[in-house]
Amino acid sequence: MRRFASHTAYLVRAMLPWRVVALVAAMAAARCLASLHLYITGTTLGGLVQQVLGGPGYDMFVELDTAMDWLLALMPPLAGLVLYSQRASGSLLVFSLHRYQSRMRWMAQQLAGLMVYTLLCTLVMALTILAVGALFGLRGLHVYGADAFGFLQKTYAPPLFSMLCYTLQSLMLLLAYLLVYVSVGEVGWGVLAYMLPVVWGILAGSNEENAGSIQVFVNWSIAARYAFSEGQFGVPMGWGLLRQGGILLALMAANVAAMRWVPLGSRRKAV
Amino acid sequence: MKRILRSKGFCFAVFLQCIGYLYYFIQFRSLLLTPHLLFAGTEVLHAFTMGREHGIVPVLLPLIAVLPAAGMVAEDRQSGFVKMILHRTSRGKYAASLLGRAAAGAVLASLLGSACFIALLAACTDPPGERTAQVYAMLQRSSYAAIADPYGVRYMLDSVLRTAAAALSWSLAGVGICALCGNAGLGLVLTTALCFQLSTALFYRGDVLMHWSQQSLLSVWISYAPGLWPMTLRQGVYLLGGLLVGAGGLWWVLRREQGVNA
Repeated sequence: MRRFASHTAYLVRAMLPWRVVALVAAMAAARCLASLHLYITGTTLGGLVQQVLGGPGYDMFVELDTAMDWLLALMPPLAGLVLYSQRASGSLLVFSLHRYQSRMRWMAQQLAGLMVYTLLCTLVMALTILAVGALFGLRGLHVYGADAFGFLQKTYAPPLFSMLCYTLQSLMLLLAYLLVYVSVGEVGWGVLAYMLPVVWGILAGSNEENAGSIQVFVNWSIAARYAFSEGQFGVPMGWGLLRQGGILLALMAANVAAMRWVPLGSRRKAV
Repeated sequence: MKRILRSKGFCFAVFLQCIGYLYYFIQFRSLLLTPHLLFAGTEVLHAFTMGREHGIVPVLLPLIAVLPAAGMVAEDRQSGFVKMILHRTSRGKYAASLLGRAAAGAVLASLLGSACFIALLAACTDPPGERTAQVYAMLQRSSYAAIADPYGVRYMLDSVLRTAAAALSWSLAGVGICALCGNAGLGLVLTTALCFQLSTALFYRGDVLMHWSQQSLLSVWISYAPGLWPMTLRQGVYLLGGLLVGAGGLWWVLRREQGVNA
């Protein structure tokens, strides 16, 4: 167990060197600067985090621009993983497998590292958003939410929940990227596997007048799609998080299974 | 050119361009249950307009632009080929060849993908009739009036060429970004992020700037099109920007490579 933990820590260091931290922070800052909430009077720092990491809410007239906006917010974790995955599962993979002695063990280690990497990426992004917000004069980590009686109250939960959901969403998409990249060996296919589900989810499951919108599984990890009170349209919290966990487990199992059939001899560096 | 045409990235870009238009039809019809109804009740011009206005080409555009050839410079850098080639040729000639290859790859992939989509429509849709007449009437009332014809051939050609021009702009920018990163995969992601960043930033800044965004230029509804010349001017600015990023990135990287070599 201790060995596994130390290997994971080593992997996370390899996945997230300082230059990748800087890249993730720069991309998060750029996304934050494009947010209109930064310029709205009365927005708090918590509100800004919730808006940037919480994703788009339900809207009848959701178009491609919303999907592009949400994809932009999801890009920073991908940038770091693209760099790492090319190094780790490229031509050096054969040598790494000798060290790990089994393909399964290697993949299990990668998945553990990926989970920590995603969490750290979310933290870096949240800190960057807070820093950019503070530079623009925003204050307070709270947001104002309605309680059970409809009164507005200060609360800290929504920004934290947005961070959790963002972590789950990016982890799911990174697992999809890894699955395709490891199987096909092409970054282009991997990036498409990262982007297309998001576009499909936003375009197909945003109409609140269609009860089927709740069933669009890609959106189960978008914080703005959850119902926080009785009678509100959205994904029920326990129901959604549980199923999201199931999707993550299924994707992890698919990654481990795919690793078994990867033809290592034909692995080439390619885009 | 042979290297581009034989690359997987080029074939993939052609496929993406086709999927970008087809997405509208795929999302509303059940492909598995009723594949024969995919284009039922549509005609070429109408189906093309739907694919253009409601497809996902603007999202896939950076991939279509970068995948065919823009990443070659990063591969050349990683393999050390740049240092060797700079012994045999000048920086300017090598940079021009890289930009030319990227531009040719992106434009060809975009044109071929669009041609595949139109050929598919021509083979599967109904003959021109009422719906074609409706779109023609709409074209006559819009900024496209100058190029409107009963079958919409010139309008389709205009849209296809505009998409190819957009792919050209982003492929040039992609060369610069890939050169600076030294990694084709990261270059692809960063070019995509830059494209989305610019589009998002412009799209939410009011009516004037909205028409400068990439998705507005490529998928604007016929009735809302701001005019052919203004759209051409905006695409010219994108092209100039792409050329500046591409040439600037290459100039910086090749200068450093030659310096290290010397």
